[in-house]
Amino acid sequence: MNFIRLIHKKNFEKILHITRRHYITFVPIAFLFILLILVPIGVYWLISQLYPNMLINDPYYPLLVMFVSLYYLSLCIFFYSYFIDFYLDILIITNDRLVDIDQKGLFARSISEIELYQIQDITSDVEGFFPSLFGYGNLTIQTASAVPKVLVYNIPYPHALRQELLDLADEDKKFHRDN
Amino acid sequence: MISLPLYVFLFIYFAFLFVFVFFSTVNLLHMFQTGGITLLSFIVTFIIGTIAIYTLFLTWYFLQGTDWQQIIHILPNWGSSNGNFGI
Repeated sequence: MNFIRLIHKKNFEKILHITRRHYITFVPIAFLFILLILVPIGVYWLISQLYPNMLINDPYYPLLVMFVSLYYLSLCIFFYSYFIDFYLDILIITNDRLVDIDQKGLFARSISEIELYQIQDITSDVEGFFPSLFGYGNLTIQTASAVPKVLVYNIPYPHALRQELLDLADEDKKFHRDN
Repeated sequence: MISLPLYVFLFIYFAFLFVFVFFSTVNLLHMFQTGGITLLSFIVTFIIGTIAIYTLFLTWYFLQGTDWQQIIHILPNWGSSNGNFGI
């Protein structure tokens, strides 16, 4: 995959996990998108019921068509941009390091990289009704590197991931101590 | 009252289409470059693409036969009794 090239994977490195934000956190936006798609259809139906002759031979009719068209195209762009922002936030865990790719809108992306042996402490939080129900939450990773703290939001199974990261960090620390 | 020929709005619409194509291209490039092509991203891209194409088709369909030379009054004549956006 291309993001392997993006993180410059080393020869000995093995990718253990590729985690994105939990899909359920995208559902409210998807619902909002569907709702906003239905609004002009509902308004048109209402107008055609109340004033059936209103739009016939109206000189403003082409303007209305163009406006509705712009509305739908804008909706597509905003929704798709939000999806890209959501979907390209990726946490990659290898046997050597942790890479947090954070897509910030369309024209900004930050990539933080932490060597596993530099991890000092990890906190996992699952707070609220939906996070508890669907099993997603936040990870806070404290490190001894140039990036002192990394926050990862809304990832699935944060408790299990925290334990696995701590185990991997221990292994990596042993490896660096012995060599 | 401001009066403009209808084709002026068509040019504005085309300018927006250019912006739409630009942002769509940037989005797709992000998707390809970051390797985010999976079943989910394909489905979302397909749905959004279908809605956009369908919107453009319907726009063309409803605007067929429009007289783009006709004059549109976009601000009401506040001083007159019939200044009601032409409705």
